[in-house]
Amino acid sequence: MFMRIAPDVPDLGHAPLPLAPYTCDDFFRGERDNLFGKVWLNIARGCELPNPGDFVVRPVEIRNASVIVARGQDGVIRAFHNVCSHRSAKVEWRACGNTRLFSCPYHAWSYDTQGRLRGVPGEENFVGLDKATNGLTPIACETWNDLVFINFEREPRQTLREYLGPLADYADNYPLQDFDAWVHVDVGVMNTNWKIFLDAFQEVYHLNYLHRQTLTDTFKWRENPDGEPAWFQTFGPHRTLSLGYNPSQGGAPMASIAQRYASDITSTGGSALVNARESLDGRRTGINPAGIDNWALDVTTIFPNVVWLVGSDSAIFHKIWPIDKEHTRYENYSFYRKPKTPSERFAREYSFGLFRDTIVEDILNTEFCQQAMKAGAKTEFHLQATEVSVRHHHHHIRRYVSGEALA
Amino acid sequence: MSAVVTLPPAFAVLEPFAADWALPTSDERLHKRMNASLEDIQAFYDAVLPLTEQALAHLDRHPLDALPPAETRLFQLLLAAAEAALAIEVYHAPRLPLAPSNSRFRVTHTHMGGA
Ligand code: FES
Ligand SMILES: [Fe+2]
Repeated sequence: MFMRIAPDVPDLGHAPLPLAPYTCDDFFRGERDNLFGKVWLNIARGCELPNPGDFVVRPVEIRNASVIVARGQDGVIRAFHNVCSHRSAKVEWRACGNTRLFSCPYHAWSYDTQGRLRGVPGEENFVGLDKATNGLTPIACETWNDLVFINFEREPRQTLREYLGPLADYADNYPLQDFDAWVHVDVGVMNTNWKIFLDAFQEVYHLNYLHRQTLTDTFKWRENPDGEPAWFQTFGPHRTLSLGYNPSQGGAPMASIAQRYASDITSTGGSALVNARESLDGRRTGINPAGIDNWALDVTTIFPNVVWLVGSDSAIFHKIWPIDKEHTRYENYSFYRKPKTPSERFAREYSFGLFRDTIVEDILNTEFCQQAMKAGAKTEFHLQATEVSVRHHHHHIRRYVSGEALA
Repeated sequence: MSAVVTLPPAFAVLEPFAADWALPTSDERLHKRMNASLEDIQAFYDAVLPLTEQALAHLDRHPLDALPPAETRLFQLLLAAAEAALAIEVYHAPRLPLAPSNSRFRVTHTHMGGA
């Protein structure tokens, strides 16, 4: 095996795993209550809310929640349930915007951006209504490196920093705040279990096969002919796979022009990438943990539902939201520095197009997997050594669903 | 009545492709590529490739967020050429066999500048 594993990674064995977690109602209820109801979930980025009054409204279907994330007039980012204190109407119907007040469409109760109840039409007709205790219901909300997280426990058992643990220490200096321009791909609802889809973004085994027409020769080279990851490392329930690039990948003409101006995970050898990487090396910046010479990117999973493709010149976040056991909402954000010139913007278009075409190849395949599992032909699945990230993921999900991680 | 916008004079040779390919959004450019024949994509790619560096240098004389109309048309044409290049250089096909219809997803740009 080409891949090396960090010495402190626990041995998770090699046995086949049960398929039931993809298809079983009880297991899904366990994920809803013991996992998505208990851990920190990345809901937004600070750069989406640069000014006081900026807000986004995001669904978290597995918790039946609509969440308002707002930067208050005091500059603090908070999260609230998007539910009116009067008779539980949905208060804010826009997906994003800037406002001083959230005004309920039903009877026009209004709340400020810090969640306080401000206006009640016909207030004198309410007997004993205490406005001070009837603001929007807050959701625990903390930020790390410009990533905004929420936690549905009223009093989370861990701070965000404790939850991220060694991952936060490792990637504190990653310059995410510099990447404040983005391309968003909204795939919407997919007919697949959330783990099937997430599994597809944290193993590299399939790149040579499912993606043979898109990622041909990108992540394999003479000493690594099967395109294995170079390194695997864990940070509690979070994890990283490091990928190297092919130093002798033949640059097609338009690809070579684009790679002169900007790079991306799919344009791994361009001069723009090498320059960007050199500016990051050696500052605890959350890249290239094994110091691989031909390092391309890391595939870092922020447990449970975000896969962060950590590049030196871009940061891509796959966000995978369970709806029910066989429906999942998927979106991704590619964050970059704001392009300064038309040529840089052109280069982004090229590399983003290749990335987009690659990830949508996973849609139909994972939907077919879900369909196939339902037939009941198989009861377990197999993982090879480089799919250890999938094994690690399932291991930690089981620890939450069983309650072991919460004890 | 608004004047008809054409490409900057130095790139007039690409005008026959502009009506079809100089499209304002990435969704439209992808849709165009996925539904064109490989021969048409090849012809477009072959015409743009030798002028790409010259065209980028020309565009770089303008700020990304303030391209004049002719330059905007040229820029959109180049962004479409990036799509065409994927089909010609990488996939050798207008669309990938496993790709769902582009109506399955929506792409939006924020603070990315330009088209
Ligand atoms: S439910 Fe919101 S004002 Fe009545
Ligand atoms: Fe994939």
